[in-house]
Amino acid sequence: MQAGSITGPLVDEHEPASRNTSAAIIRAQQVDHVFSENVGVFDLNFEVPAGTIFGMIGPSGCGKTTTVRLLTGLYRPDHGKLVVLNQTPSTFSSRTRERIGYMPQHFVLYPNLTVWENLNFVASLYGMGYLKRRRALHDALDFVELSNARNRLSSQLSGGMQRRLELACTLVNSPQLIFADEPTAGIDPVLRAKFWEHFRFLRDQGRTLFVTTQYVGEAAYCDLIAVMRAGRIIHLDTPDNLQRKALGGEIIKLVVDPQQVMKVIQICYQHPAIKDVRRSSREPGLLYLQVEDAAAALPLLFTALSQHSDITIQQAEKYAPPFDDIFIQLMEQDEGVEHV
Amino acid sequence: MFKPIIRLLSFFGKEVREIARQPRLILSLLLGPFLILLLFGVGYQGDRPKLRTALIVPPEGVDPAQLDALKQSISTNFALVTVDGDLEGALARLDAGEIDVVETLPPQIQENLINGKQSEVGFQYNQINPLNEQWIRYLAYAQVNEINRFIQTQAVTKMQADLKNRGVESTVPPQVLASPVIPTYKNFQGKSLEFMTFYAPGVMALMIQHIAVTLGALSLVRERLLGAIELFRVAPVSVMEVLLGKYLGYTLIIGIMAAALVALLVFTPLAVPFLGSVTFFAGLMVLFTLASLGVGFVISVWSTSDSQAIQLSMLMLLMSMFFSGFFLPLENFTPAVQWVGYALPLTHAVQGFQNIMLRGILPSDTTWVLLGIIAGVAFLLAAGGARWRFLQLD
Repeated sequence: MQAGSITGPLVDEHEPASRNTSAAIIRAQQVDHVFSENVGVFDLNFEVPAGTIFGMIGPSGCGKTTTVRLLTGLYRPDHGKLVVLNQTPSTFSSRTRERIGYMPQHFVLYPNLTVWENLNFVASLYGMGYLKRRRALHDALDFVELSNARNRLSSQLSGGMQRRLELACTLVNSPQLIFADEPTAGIDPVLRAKFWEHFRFLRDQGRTLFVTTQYVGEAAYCDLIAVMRAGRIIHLDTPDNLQRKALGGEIIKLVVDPQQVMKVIQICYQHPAIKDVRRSSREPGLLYLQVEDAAAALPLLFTALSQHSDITIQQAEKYAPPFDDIFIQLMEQDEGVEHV
Repeated sequence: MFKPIIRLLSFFGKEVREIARQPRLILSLLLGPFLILLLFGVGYQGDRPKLRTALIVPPEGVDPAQLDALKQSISTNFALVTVDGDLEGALARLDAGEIDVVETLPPQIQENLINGKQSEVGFQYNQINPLNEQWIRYLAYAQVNEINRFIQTQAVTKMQADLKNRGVESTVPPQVLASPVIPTYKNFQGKSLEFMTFYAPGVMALMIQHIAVTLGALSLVRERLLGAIELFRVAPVSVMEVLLGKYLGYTLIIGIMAAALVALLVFTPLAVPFLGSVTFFAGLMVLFTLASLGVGFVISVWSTSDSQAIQLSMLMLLMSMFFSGFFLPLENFTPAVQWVGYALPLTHAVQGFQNIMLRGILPSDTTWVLLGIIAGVAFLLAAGGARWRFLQLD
């Protein structure tokens, strides 16, 4: 079953199905949680709008899990203010907890219980009655495509299936706010893509997702990204804006006849909309043009080049570099900054 | 309104299913005590030790009639291996571990008696086991009493014969004069039970306590190691719901196993009697299980790994074997150490189950009260500890 084809399963009848990005569902103001000197999270300031996927990206040990634990009430901030679903996490009421889904980084399911029993147990933790639970279990298993494995012991599942079952456990109570701590760690790229497909489907239903990941490339799936380093958020923006920050604007990929490259470079250098030109060392006709706004610069570029009849444009488009490159760039930019 | 009950029952169901999924565990828990008792019943002789003894007679020898009587008397308590005058050889065999006791009869017992001197019967042994030494001393004492009685009887017989020759006749038999007092025995139970039968309630209680303590000890520590505590803390679940759910699940499982175990003991050739009230037995079993589970949960909240939990459970088992009165009478300990015994659920369960099953009477009020106190204190400690562990992430 395709995630996109699901309608009933994970739709909470009490929640609007449309996206509502107006209100912040999570607010963090100057939050610190210090384990020891330079270990912990420091000065966290961010807001997560409802109905979005908020991605937290950073290397291992940078404070992503600590942040999730602060937001779920497992840790108390040493300093600062945290508001999640209009409550302080450490004093969440039962009703608020029922609106939260949590996929811990390391939770291992009970190996002697079947898929169904594991899911049933988690659903019962949320106080779901028998009939409601039964329906929710079927829906959640359908959603993660584990219905056929419902009677298998979880110890007999593959790693990917176990992770899918954990996702089903996270969603079984139809939460409004979902925290997933490195949900795609250690699973194959196909399943990772599937997970993100699920997440976007849930987002489209109006749910809010707070997802941490070490896979920089997954940032592209998020609506907002916080880049973390050494316990601090060093950048917080949309994927496009982060790309802009990393690269100093946007990139246009331009392919021309290798014979005409030098002439094109000269034209581009003189063009006011183009800030920088780089030539590919591997492909002789390939140029990367740094511009402020690719959408605005492209027509101008076409106009400028069309004035030279001997130049043939083979390809010209906005280029989205891999997020790994952007991430490295952002990290390098931050290296020179001293945090006080 | 029903949500707390649903949450509580979720733990109950999970624990029951998890154990039910392990048939070998159930089988070993059930058949283990049964087989131990069967082996005990078949194999335990319950007798005093057979002490291999070399009897050394004096160089001048002993009157053959007297020697036969002595040998018969000695054989009652000691297994005579040799009877000769070779003391050095006997001591060498004692040193080599071929015999346990060298008993040396004194020379000229009658002459010494006439001269107003006591004769010494020597018992030499080579023991490090204090129980065996106690047995040797006790049996030697009993045997010397027998020899004294034999000599006194002979002396009285001779005196009566001398007096008769002088015209004085005694109507009192020499045996009565030599032993005017003899013991008589009456057991109001009819007769004492077989060792296996007597120990059956204790073994059953010991195994149930061990199962409960181990299940409890592994329970919370496993949840913590799995990372489930993190999930529980984010979910709307309270520590009390977790703990009560587990109490409920384990009590049901142990209750079923205890019922099956009692059926095995009572309705199989082991034929352990069940004379008392089933209701009070069930009540005591529930209280005992709750107390033992509580101890297990306390271990669980203090343990940082499952191996540590197992280790502490084994220590609990060892402590129960020594201080519960299961094998060694509690009265043999100093009053301070006796309180260690009173703090163990097994101490009260052994007494209670023996009373109900073997005597057909109710457990004493002390049994109920002390077991209740242990269960209550253990629950409070476990609840406090579990709460602390829940919050320890913070």
